[in-house]
Parts: sequence; C-alpha cells; structure tokens
Amino acid sequence: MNGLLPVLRLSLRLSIRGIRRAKGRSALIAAMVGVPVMVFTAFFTIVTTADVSHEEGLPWTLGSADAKIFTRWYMQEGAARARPATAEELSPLLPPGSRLLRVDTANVPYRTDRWHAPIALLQVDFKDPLTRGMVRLTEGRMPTAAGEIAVSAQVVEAGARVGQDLTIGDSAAVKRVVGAVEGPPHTFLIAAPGGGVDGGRTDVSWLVDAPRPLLRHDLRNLDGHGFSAVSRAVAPASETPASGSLLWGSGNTSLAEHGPVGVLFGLTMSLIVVEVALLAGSAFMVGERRRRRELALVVAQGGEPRHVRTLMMADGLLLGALGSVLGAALGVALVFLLQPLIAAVYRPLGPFDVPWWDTATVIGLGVVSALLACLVPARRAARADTAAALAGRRIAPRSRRGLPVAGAALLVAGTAGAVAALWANGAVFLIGCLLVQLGLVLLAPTLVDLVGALSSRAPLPIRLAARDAVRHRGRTAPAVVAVTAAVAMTTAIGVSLSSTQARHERDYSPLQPLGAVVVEKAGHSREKWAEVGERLRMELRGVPLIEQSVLVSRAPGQPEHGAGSSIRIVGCAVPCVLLGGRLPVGNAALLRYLLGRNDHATSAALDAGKVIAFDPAVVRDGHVKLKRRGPTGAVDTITMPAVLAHPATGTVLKVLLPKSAANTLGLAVEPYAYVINPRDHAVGEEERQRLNAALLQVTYAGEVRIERGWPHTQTFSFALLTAAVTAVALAAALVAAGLARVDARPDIASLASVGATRRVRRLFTAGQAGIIVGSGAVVGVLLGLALGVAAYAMAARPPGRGVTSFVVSPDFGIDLPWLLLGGMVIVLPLAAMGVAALFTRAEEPLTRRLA
Amino acid sequence: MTVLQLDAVTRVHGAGDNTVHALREVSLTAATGELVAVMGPSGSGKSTLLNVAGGLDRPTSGTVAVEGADLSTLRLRDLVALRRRHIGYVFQDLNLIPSLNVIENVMLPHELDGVRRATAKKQAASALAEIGLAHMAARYPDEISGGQRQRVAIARALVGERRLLLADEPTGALDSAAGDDILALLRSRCEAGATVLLVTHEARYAAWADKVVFLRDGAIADSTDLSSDGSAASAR
Ligand SMILES: Nc1ncnc2c1ncn2[C@@H]1O[C@H](COP(=O)(O)OP(=O)(O)O)[C@@H](O)[C@H]1O
Ligand SMILES: [Mg+2]
Repeated sequence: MNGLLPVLRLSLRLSIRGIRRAKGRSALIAAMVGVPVMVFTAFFTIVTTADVSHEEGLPWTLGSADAKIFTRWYMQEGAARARPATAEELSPLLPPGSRLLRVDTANVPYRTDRWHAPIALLQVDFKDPLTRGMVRLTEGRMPTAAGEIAVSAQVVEAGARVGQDLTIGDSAAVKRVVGAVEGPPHTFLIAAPGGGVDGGRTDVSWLVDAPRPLLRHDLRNLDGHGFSAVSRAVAPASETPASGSLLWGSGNTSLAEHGPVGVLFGLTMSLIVVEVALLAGSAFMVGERRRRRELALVVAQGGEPRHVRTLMMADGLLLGALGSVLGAALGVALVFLLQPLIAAVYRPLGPFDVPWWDTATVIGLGVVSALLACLVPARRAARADTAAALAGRRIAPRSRRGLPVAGAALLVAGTAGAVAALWANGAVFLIGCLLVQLGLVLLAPTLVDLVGALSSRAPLPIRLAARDAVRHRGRTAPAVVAVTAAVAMTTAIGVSLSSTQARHERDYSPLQPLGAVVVEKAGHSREKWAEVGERLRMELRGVPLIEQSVLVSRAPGQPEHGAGSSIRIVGCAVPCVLLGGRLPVGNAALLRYLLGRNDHATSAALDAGKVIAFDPAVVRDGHVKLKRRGPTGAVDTITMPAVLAHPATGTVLKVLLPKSAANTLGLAVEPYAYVINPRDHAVGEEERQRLNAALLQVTYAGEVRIERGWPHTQTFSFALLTAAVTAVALAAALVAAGLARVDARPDIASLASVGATRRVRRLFTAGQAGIIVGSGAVVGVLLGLALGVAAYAMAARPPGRGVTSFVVSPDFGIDLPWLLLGGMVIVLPLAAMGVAALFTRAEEPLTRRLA
Repeated sequence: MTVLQLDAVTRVHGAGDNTVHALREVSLTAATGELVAVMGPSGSGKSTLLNVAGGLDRPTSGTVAVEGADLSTLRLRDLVALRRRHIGYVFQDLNLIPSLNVIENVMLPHELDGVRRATAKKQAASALAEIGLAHMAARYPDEISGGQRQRVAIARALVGERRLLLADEPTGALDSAAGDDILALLRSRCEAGATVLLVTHEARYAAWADKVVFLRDGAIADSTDLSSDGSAASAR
C-alpha cells in the first residue's frame, strides 16, 4: 500500500495551479463559501463585542475593590422605593476589617449646543485607591470639588470641552469640565462627592475593600438582608466564561436560549450550508468537466480512482479553506473597522472581542460544505470512462431521474410539519423546512423534465438549452433547488412581514389627525412646558400652536402622587380611546383641529359647556354619562349635556370636554401636548427637523413628531435578504449556465460551423440561465407562500394558545407582497438571463480533434 | 523476451443495432527492444487496440498479457499499479498536465506510486537528460514547443522502470521535421531496451519499425516483420 501523502501533496499542487489558471471560477466558488462565512463571523463578532462579559465589565464596576453592594429597589404602593444601604447597616454583614466607599449614581440630562437625554452621573471620591481602574483619565484631571466634573468621550463628542462649563440636570446646574475619561460603553459623567445635582433619583452603592474575597455565601448573606452585590471572586451563575461562545455556550448568551430567533437563525444557517453545497457542487462539476482530460491522463499514468478523488477533493479543501479563512478574516476586520458605525446603529459596544470558537466553527462549516460540494463531482470523476475522455468522445450523462414520489411525499410532509408547528413550537417548523428542502432535491429532476417538455415550441437556442438542461439533470437540478430554496425563504419572510405590516395598519388608530404636528409633554415641569411652548411659538411665527389638555385624576392643588379619582364614560366601547387614558379637554381651536373643519354650531356648544361626543354610542338623550370612582372607592354618576359631532379627520377620540367640565367634576386640567392643525400649517420633514432642533435647545425630553399613521418600515434586514437571494439566484444561474456551456461546447461548435451567429450562442446560455432561475423562482414562490402563511400565523398567534383562536378571528388576513413576488418570478429570471448572456465569451475555443 | 502479448482480443462497443466491433480476434506480440507500428484508416480500431493493451480498456474476449501478467486476472488496483510502474502512454497531443511543469509531469507516475519526492525527482531528471531536455525541467507545457512536449511525454512514459510505451499517433499534431525527430527518439529508446507500440497512419514511419500491423475494421489485415528485412535495416 503506497502512501497517500505524496498524492495529497501532488493534488494540492495541482489544485493551487488549477485555481490560479481558472481564477474566475475559483473566485466564484471561494466567494460562495466565503461570503456566508463572512456574514456569520461578523454577526458573532458584533454580538460578542457588544456583549460586555462579566469579566470585561468588572473593572468598570469594581475598580480595584473586592465587591460592590447596590441599593435595593422595591415596589411599594405602585411606586419604586429605595432601601438605603448605610455603612452602619452593611459593616456587620462584611468580614471584619472591611472598608466601604460610597458611590452615588444619578441620571441627569446635559446640555451642549442642545439638550441631551439623561446619562449616568457617577459621584465618588476618585482619590480613593478603590476606584482605580473604573475609568481612565485621557485629558485634564479628575474632579475634586463640587463644581467640577469629568466627562466621557461620548460627551466630548457631543460638544463638551475640557476647561469649559457644562450645564447638567433639570435644574440646569453649571459645572466646570476638568477632565475627559474613558470607561464603560455608555455615555457618563463623573463628579466628586457632593458634586451632583438636585432632584431626580440617586442610587447609592458601596465599594468594599475586604481583607478576604467575598464568596458566594457572603453574597447570599447580604441578599438575605436585602442587599444585592457583585464580588470579584464570584462569577454570576448565568454568565458564560470570558471565552463565551454563542454556538457552544450554555448560559444566557447562547443561541439555544434565544427561542424563535435561535430557530430562525438555525434555519438560515442550515439553508446556507445546503445552498453552498448545492451551488458550489455545480461549480465543481464545471471543474470536473474541464479537468476531464487532465484526470484521464493521470489515470493513464497509473492513477487509481482514489487518486482522482483526492485530486478533486483537494480543490474543495483549498477553495473551502481559502474562502472560509478569507471570509472570516474579512468579517472580523469589517467589524473592527466599522465599530463606530455599528455602535451608532446597533448599540454601544464593549471592548473588541473575537469569538474564536464560533469563528473556528464557522470556518469549519465552510470547509465542510465545500468538501460536501465536491464529493459528488469527485466520485463522478473517479468513475469516468478514461478511454472516452482521452479520445475526447462525448460522455453520455448518467443522471438520476429523481425520486418524484418520495420527493412529493417529503414536500407534503414538510409543509404539513411547518403548519403543524402552529400547535407545537419553532423546532417543528425548522424540521418541516428541512424536510421540504430534501423533498425539493428529490423532485427537482422531474421538475426539470417538465420544463423541457414545455419548451418544445420555443425558438431553437432556447429549445436546445431546455433539451440540454434535461439531458444533464445532474447539474441543472441542484441549481434549480438552490434558487427554489432561496426564493422560498424570501417569499416566506416577505409574506409574513407584509401580512404583519398590513395587520398593524388595520389595527392602528392615530390619536391625532393625519399630518398634525405633535409635541407631547412627557415629564416636563409646568415651567419647562411653558418654555417649550414659548420656543415653539417663536419658531412658528404666527402659526397657531394649540394646547391639548386632559383631566387628571386629582383635584386642583392636590399632590401629584397618591390615590385619585378615575372616570369612565358610560357606553364607550372598549378600547375607549382617550388621551393617555384620560379625558381630553380643549377649546374651539382644538375642536376645529379634531373635526378637520369649521363647525360653528358644535363650537358654540363647546363654548356653552357641552361635551362634544364623536361616538354616537356614548350620547343618550343629548347627554353623556360619566362614572366617577373617588379616592375612597365610592362611585357616582355625573350627567352632562352633549352634542354629537362627525369628525372628518378619523380621530379615534370618543369625546372632547369643555374646560368648564373640570370644575363640574372637581378635577385638575393638565397640558397633554402642543399640536399644530395641519389645516393651519402643513409641516414637512425639513421644518420638523428645524422645530426639533429648536426644542432640544430647551429640553432633552421632547420630540416634534408628525402623525403619519402606521409607519411604513421596509426593514433593512429584509432588503439585505432580498439582495442575498438575488445573488444566490444569479450565482446559480451563472454556474449552471457555465457548466452547460462546457458540456455543450461540441454542440455550439457544430452550431457555429453551420453558421449560427454569436447571438444564437448567447441565447443558448441565456436560455439555460432562464430555465434554471425561472423554474426555481416559480416553485420557490409557491412554496414560500405556504411557509410564509404558516410563519405569519405562528407569529400572530396569541402566546400559549393554539391555532383556532386566531384563524376564526377576522383580524387574521394575509397580505401578499405583489411587487416582491412579481420581481422574483419575472425580473429575477430575466436578470439572470441577461447576466449569463453578458458573461458568454464571444470566441469559442475550437473543440479538440478526435485522435 | 515478450513484453506484450495479445491473444485473439475482441472488443465490442454498444449493444443491439449499435454494436461496433472495434477489434476482432487480434493477436500480437511485442518483445524487448521492438518498435511495433500499428497502421490503418481512421476508425479501424487502432486506439482501441492501444487502450486494451495498456489496460485502460478491457477486451470483450481474448487475453492481454504485459510482462507475463494476464491483465484480466488482476484486480483493478494491481492493474493500475502495473500501469504506473511498467506502462507509459503518449497521445497525439495534450499529454502534459498544464498546471505541472516539465519535471513534475515526468515525476507524475512516481508520485502517484508514493515514491519519495527526492527519488522521483532524480529519476525524472535522468529521464529528461536522456532525451536532452534537462534544461527545460522548470518550464510549463505551454512554454515549450509541440515537439518538445511530445518528447517530455515520451520521457515520462519511460521514466524509471517503465519499459512498455504505447503511443497513439504521437506525431499527429507535429510538422514532418518534428515528427521525424520523435520517431528517431522512439527508435533510440528501443535500442536502449524499451518496447514501443506505435499507432500511426503515416506510411513512411513504418520504415522505422521492426514490425508493422495493418488494421481494417478491427481485424488484422496484414502483418509484416521487418526486423530481418535488409531494407528495413537500411532505413534506420
Ligand atoms: N466507447 C465507444 N463506444 C462506441 N463506439 C466506440 C467507442 N470507442 C470506439 N468506438 C468505435 O470503435 C471504432 C474504432 O475506434 P478507434 O479505436 O478510436 O479507431 P481509430 O483510432 O483507428 O480511429 C470506431 O468505429 C469507433 O467509433
Ligand atoms: Mg484513434
């Protein structure tokens, strides 16, 4: 038995040279393997980088302390309350000799050229060595006095400067920025003790310097006394180790814990492996045809079948490894370079972190799928008729006719499984999808035959292409399956998304008339709110700014919190839409805004203290009945005169109360929002941004919004998916058409010799591409419709209940994304034909003369 | 010593109406140092004869023996090994693997055999030196002339222990001067102890042979032994 090593070496050498010679094809195969590897590696790297592991986060939390003990919050009478942890309380619970350092954390907004949303303000004595490692000073010095703060890089980016003043907090305290620091991936400010601002909630925590590490039982002891703590010596139970792996890990960061998302991810992943194997398989088949003579020569020189297999597999190994490693490197490099961008659109990132195990797994998968891909071509090559290959004689394709019955059975079973998943769970759906794919593989040859039979009336080049596709089912079928699978996946997701979108649109009821500008009061104080109004009026230059108000549940002058009254409109069907659950109050201007027209009679009624009802159900005999439940639980009914109005704006509000009603009911009126009537002044996106910028000069917590109905969000990821499908379909078309050309070379040469033009030859190639992508797309769309409806139904299902509860619901409607479907059935095949024709080389090499 | 012996070899392709008798009861021997020319019109079965002789194709009936071993009794693996160690093929053109350079092409049989690279290289170098192409060792097939390519193929066919060379129209793609060179080389290899079975349809090359076999429709139409003939001797 001679050693295989020299043969392997020879194979690799041949492969490397062969890859260099067929650069285009090799690059295509490497890309087919590499691109998915790149995407997955990038994905894992982003997730791992964004995920601040326990160990990575420790220095920011603990500095150089042994542990940190946090304020425990709890709910009491509907409000969050803090259990203040004092040093006296804590000391007995810690090892004797422990030292405590107090850390105060507050959330404060800050203002540079505009207001910014609240961020963490850390107050601690940074002279204490326990804080060492919490942050790193990059400029200036640490704050030491009450009027000083240091800021993080993000705050500097927002416009703060060392040496200048910065306004922070609702009370607009002015602090001198004395330093810039780097720390955890969240925007933050730090100050010396006592350097905070008034108002707002402050969390107290304690850094602990203990003579011995705090162990699990110490933490349990603290917990028993109502304090939560983090210890350097104890890793939280739910955390994965620092080398946390999404694929291999078991903690809360592993995919297994991600439920449906994990299932979908698994589906995508398996689909990609199958796809790569199918497509690259076809591409390797091209290689096998091209190398047929080379391989026959090897056999003539005494090569065994296993040598030939090794020669072919070496291609898979090399291209797979090359594509995977390059793809992974590119994925990691992209994430590394695009960190700021990713942090901006995704979420703040921790230290850059490459998940080595996951990356290695993905690379391994890439290589394995490439090896799988060249398994069949390698076996074919090893069995090839050497004498025929040497004589350049045509080799009759021996390809399976497929197993239509088994295929159809699998297809039906798989689809049924996917639908049955409605009653079961995502894993069943996944298995169903895989069965469907398997069924497709078995059915595809029959499908190709069908297409061949349909083409008997097509023009010559197309007919020739169809006949050829049928004769070489072995290479046509995988390409068709690849297209089918990709199209089915997009269709399924498209149908599911567009149905969901349609349902949201149906269900959405805008609180404000379409086109109205709205600024909601949110958490502003009365003074701030007045300031906001002033600022907006200044910007609007004469356009009326209407104030929308509501009745609040307390009497005028009563404190904000505590038990109040609640009011219900009698006869108002659920959901009885009010403003934030409270009764809207307003004047004639607001009425005109809600009605969308001038209505003097109704306006006069409002002025006369009558309730305006927009829903006939709530008016009885010219009156509206309100049920009031007082603070003590006593219920009484108040009847108020009302008139019915018919708004032209489609507002979903049920009533509008006159200001005087507040007195009648004994409740206070609070502003709810500023609005601009679109009939007074239509605001475009540009003006909205200008108004928003002006607003941010005054406050951080407001947004100028335009009521536009349910937002039409064509998700970015869906666009990406569509692009990927297009790429897959085009690759499939190109590979299969290229393969067809290699096979059909003698035919084409004969065609040329009887005077066929280049156009005919191009049409032949285009025809191949069209047949593959066309039939793949049609079947894919049909299949995708079934899977998409199933997926949508699964998503729309109320949690924990079976399918019956929503199938009967009128809300369950399917909305088909016609544009997408049409694009895939018509545009995609045409595009594939065009690309294939473009790639047709003008000059055909002469076929070898037979010896 | 008889290196190659064919006994009543018949090769039938296809079945039913498509049956083609590529070879009919062909018997033939070639001894050490002999150059046997196989001639005949196109389609007469010359290539089939060569393929059967080297075990690339199996006869429908009859026996083929190489160096005393009956090919039909060998397992595939042993047959392949026999080809690797004892039989070399040279075809009309495209004999060399384009992505291997000249010396690597010559090393190919040995590398397939698992011979140590250094040994394989030494033997290949000496085979190249014998045909006077040692200086071309590092070139790639498309960097040398057609005649040189055929010479390299011959060197490969006779590298190491290989003594039986099966050549299928090795001059078919060359001009006549280059073709003559190839014939001279084959002749000199025979003098050095090789056995050559040469398929050609050029009558003038028959003069270089020790024995000429004429094929027509798969059967031997005529066979001339020139080795004892004075005119043949003078043609050398
Ligand atoms: N694999 C095959 N299948 C069918 N017919 C074949 C096959 N190989 C050779 N033939 C036929 O056998 C006959 C002899 O072919 P061949 O040996 O190539 O002739 P030559 O080399 O003398 O031109 C021809 O008619 C050829 O068509
Ligand atoms: Mg021939």
